[in-house]
Amino acid sequence: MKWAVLGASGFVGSRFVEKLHLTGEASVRPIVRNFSSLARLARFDLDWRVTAVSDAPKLTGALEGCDVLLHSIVGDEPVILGSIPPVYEAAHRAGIRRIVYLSSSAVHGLAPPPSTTEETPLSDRQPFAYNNAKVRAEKLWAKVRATGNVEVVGLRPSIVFGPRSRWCSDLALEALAGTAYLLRGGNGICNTIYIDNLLQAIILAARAPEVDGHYFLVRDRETITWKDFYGPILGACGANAGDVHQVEAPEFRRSLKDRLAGLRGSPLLQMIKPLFPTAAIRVGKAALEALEALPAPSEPSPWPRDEKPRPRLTAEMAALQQCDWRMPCAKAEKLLNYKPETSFSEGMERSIGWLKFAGYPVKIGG
Amino acid sequence: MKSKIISPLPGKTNSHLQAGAPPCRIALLGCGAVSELYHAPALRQLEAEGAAVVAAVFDPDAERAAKLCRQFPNAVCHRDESFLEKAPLDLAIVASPVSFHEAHAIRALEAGIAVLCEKPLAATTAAGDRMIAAALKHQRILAVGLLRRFYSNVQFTRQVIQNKTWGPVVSFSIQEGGPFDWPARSDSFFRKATAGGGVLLDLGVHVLDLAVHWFGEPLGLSYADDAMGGLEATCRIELSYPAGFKGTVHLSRDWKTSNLYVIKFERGTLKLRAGEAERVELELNDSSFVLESSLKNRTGPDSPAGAVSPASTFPQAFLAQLRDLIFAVRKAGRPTVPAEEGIRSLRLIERCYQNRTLMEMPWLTPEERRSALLPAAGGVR
Repeated sequence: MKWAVLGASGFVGSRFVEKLHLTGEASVRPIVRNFSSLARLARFDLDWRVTAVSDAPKLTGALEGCDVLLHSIVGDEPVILGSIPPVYEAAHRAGIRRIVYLSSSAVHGLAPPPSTTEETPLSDRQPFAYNNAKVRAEKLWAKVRATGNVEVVGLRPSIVFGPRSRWCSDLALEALAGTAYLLRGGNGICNTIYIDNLLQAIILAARAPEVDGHYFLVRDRETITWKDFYGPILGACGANAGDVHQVEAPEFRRSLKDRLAGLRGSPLLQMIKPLFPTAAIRVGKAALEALEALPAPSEPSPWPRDEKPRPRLTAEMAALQQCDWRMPCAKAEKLLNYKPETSFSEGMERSIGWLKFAGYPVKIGG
Repeated sequence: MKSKIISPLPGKTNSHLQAGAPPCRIALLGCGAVSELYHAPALRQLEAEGAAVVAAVFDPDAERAAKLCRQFPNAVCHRDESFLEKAPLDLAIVASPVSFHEAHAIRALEAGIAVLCEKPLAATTAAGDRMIAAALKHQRILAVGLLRRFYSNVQFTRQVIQNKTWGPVVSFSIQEGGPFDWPARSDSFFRKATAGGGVLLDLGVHVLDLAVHWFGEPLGLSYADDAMGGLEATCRIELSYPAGFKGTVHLSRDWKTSNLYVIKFERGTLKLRAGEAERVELELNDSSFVLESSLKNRTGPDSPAGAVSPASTFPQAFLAQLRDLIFAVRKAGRPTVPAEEGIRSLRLIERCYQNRTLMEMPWLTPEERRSALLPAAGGVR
């Protein structure tokens, strides 16, 4: 089996390339959008390709000779949605058999209601732009699937951690700066999946029969809380769960900027956009950009001097830490034969090992 | 021991360049990102000052050459190097890919033209030695673009190390790098055949040049990187020095590092941030305060307090480097970073590669690690 990997320089893509190349389990061709993205991949002697997804002939050429394609392109809504039709068309022309698309459990929300499964209807009117983008992306994949022979299978992981994961690096930085925080005592469910378990699911998704059009929730085998997730990294950074800020979830109000970002990607706006002349769109876009560039609200009073570092809560993190639902992965177990091979503790140990490798002042076994 | 004020580098301004002297005739070889982003604006400034005139621009890619050429009214665009033997030139700036440095520099030197070669001087010390030999043979200047030598905080650091201002060096640690964001125009940076090395050669040549400049030659070293058949994106070097202190260098073009240089002295700690040319941070052991400051130039050793001028920022350092060369060419003098000096970090880099081991990558499974250690995967260079 020969894989093409789009988004090969990212967290998931680069580890996928690394694993396939080193194990020899399958041959792999990374595809990146610019030369600068090759730095990490160039640790190996690989047959890489550099192309924009909008360059149809070049992208088709890059996919030729491959059987399966991993789509792990990350970005905002225009990037995610904009990549789907050209990638599908190029894959169709190049004779790709199946595309494995990396979606997200965020399609169900960051704190989905209990009983959520893959079959739960999705909404693209969620408070977070990323969630809506991923919902729309799944819809778009279904639409393009009808235009060709290439099968599409999707995976919906949640908290993917491992080497080069922002979950690990950001938490380490927060722990070192004294700004790490937990909501509700850290007892919310953290639906982790160690990167290698996700890669395992990706490979199974490429092989499993009769799963065209299906999406699968995937996670680690253990039930992990946010406290469990934070513990080892805090320890490695010389702190412990008792040292982190225990906070209550504030009420987040969407900023004008967030609302504009949501508006910009909304299907309605995209639908009516062609009705407007280019000049009007340009003026509108400039006005939106000007509004987005508005300065932040004025700084708080300089009189009280805050000596202690304070956590910076985000609405996304607050929602995630209030999750009470352990995402099921029965469907992946049944149809993909998914049985996560790496335990959470092993995955965490490797992640902390990576932090040390990357130069973070962590102590192994701390 | 009494401290002495070591004069900063010449820091030549236009007034140091002879008034009324004809402008230095310069050729720019290679029109990649470094030429576009740095050399071109610096050369435009020197043209405006009347210190230089860009007479020739060379790149095998005609479009790139033409684009750069348009910025210089007197420049002629060339697609092959034969112009070096024909055009009247004083200085050639070699900013081509590293695999061409030797050929381009030697050709210019043979034509009687002084050369400023972008870092690294060459992909190997053998090539660098041949370039130096050519410079000696033809009695022409060969300098290396190790720009950081012109940063005021680099010069300040050397002064306090040499003067033992806060006692002798106890240890140092350097972390520099982050996700590669240089606007590379081809994959030549990432191919072994064209790049010659990864982050150690690319970024390390600057960092190890400073290490050599400040601390001298290390006695012992250990080196590990993460290349597995290709070019390293992360590396770690441990160095030990005759005076008994040790230092570590961590470089990456994979993941953001602290970008911090920390030098511990007997009585204090000096910190520099990578990418900053004039700022320093100082912690004295007997004080509870931290001093963060930007350096200024004293106008003279006996100048009254307050008689200072701004120290070099990054663009100023870039200009200072070119002025230094023009001054050396006119006076047939020695540039601040001649090739003999610039090749020292290259020798250290070769020592690193000769002692290479695979970095510990704890996220690799045992099977992956075995594979990474196979010679075919680059386990042994």
